Amino acid sequence: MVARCLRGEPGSFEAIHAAHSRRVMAYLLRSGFSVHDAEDLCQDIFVRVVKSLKKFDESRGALGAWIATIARNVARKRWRRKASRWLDFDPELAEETLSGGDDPSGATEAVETIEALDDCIGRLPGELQQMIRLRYVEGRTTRGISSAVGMPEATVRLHLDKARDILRRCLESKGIEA
Amino acid sequence: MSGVERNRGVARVGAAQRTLERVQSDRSMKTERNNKNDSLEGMLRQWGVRQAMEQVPRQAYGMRRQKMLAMVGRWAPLAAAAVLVMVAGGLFYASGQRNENAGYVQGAAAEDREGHFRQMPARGDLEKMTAEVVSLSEQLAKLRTTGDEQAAEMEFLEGQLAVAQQELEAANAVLAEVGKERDVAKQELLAERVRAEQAESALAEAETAESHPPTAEMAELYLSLAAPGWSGMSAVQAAAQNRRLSARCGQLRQETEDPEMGYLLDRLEAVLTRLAMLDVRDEHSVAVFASLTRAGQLRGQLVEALAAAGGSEMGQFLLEVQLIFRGVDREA
Repeated sequence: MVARCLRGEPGSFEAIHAAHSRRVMAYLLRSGFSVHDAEDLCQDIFVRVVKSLKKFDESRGALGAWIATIARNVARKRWRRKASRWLDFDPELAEETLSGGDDPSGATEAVETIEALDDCIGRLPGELQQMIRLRYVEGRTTRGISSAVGMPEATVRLHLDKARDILRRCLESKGIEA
Repeated sequence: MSGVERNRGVARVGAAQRTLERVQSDRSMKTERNNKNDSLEGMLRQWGVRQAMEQVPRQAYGMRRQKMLAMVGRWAPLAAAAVLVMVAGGLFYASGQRNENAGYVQGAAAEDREGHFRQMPARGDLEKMTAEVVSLSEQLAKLRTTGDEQAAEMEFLEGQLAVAQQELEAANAVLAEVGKERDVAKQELLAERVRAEQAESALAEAETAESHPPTAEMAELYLSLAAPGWSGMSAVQAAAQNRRLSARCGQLRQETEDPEMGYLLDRLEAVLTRLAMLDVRDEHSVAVFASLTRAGQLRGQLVEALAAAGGSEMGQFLLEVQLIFRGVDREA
């Protein structure tokens, strides 16, 4: 695909963009950037990808990992300008967005397990469900959740523990060890 | 301590505070990461990544993507054009080097002179054409002036025409209105004629039956003609009034010299006066009035007088009174 893009074949860059931009956007959003900023950064990242595509060496890693490196560098430069915000988001969770495979359907957990978990989360009380989403979907720290919902951090931790207990029991009732 | 040193101190304190916050946050997150070994934590993280990717705002992200692709599409031809310009510049420079020879310069000078001589007759033509253009421009200006005058006149005439058309339309409207009124009048006149003819025929028919008392149909026809729109005893009263029977009776009384006829007319005038003053809604009054018309040989005298009077004005009056009495008989 890279070779085709370098030859200037029509649609080749679009294919690269389609394959990787969603993951990059998710990474930027989980890193604490607003939707607007994330869109701007995503655009910057793929402009850099186009400019430096000649430097890409397939023998040193996959294209997704190389794009992830560019995304990380661009995001870190911007982080320095927004230092107060990054404490609200867990960089490890953001990093996990990039470290996954190019295809999200190829996740390590079985699809059935994730679907069962999704079902259990859907049955959680509204407040607990919101905290699980803030933690694992938005990638927030307890401090970030605390500032988002207006609760003390200790209360947030208690709520998260309670939510995990409920989920564990729910999964076990479905025959899944958690 | 200088101002610069103080500022540095403040900056160090700020940095230390941020580091402290970072350490506290890291400690908090470390506690959470300890759960990572837990399989539930792993599942939640996998689920979170999938959800996060699914929740990427498709529309905005698509727009940005299209913008970026458009940008790439816009700059790619420009880059290609820049390369072409550079190549063309190099070629031009190379050809310029080759053309630096005297033969080329001499040839160019000769061509220049030849062109100068070719231009001389053309200049004469150009002067003629210029004069023609000036002349045509003047004619055009004159035509424009004439055209303006004609346009003004045309505008004035159009205004006059519009006024005349309005007047004509108004006259047509008046004419149409008059025509309608005339038609209505014609219809009314026709109706009157028909009514008069019917009345005349009814009277003629009554005259032919002098010796016979008028029938109920004749009385009904008379009343409908003499008092159209009325019915019952009101029709009788209105017919006597419309036909001015009381007034005509008084006039005939003055004209007659016959004492018996005079006596009859006096009685008839009294009866007609009572009829004019009768309350037609009061059944008792109507019944009393009906009996009055039948009292004292009045009907018999009326028949005899009518037979004697013939077709004269007196006869016509007496006949109408007889018809009125017949109407009274019908309603009472």
